[in-house]
Amino acid sequence: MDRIEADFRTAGLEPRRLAMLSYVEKLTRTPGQMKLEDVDSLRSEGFNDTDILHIAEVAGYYAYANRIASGLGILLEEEG
Amino acid sequence: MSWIKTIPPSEADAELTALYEKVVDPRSGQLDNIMTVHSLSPRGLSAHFDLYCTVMRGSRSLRKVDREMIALTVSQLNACHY
Repeated sequence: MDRIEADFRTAGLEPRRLAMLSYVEKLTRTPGQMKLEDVDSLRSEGFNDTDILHIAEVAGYYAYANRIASGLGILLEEEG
Repeated sequence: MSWIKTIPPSEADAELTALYEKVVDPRSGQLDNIMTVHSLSPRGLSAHFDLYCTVMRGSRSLRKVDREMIALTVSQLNACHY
């Protein structure tokens, strides 16, 4: 199966954002494999617990929204 | 617009009409399909909208642009183009 890529790794992001997006990538691809170490890797970049909560909330929300869109065949609106 | 029936604004009852007015995108004046797809279940529409607003509101240490980067990354990984 082709691996779907997210292109954040080649975007020249600073370490803080790279850590944030690495966390959400792992959470999106393999949610059952998340560990305390994944949260600690965010802490080591200066994210506090409220930030980490928000990061997980946004990733979780888009998991929901993407499935609603894909499952029900929603197309992007025509630009008005 | 979607694979299931959605109720257009012209056919919406009072409850749904009020919800459509609440969720309309203020910048474009449009109703987003990700909201109107819930038209058969107004409680779900309302809950989704409230969740979206809560989750995507920027804070000092996680700004809106960071939240949008997460949104883009997750959507790419889920192969969702919406």
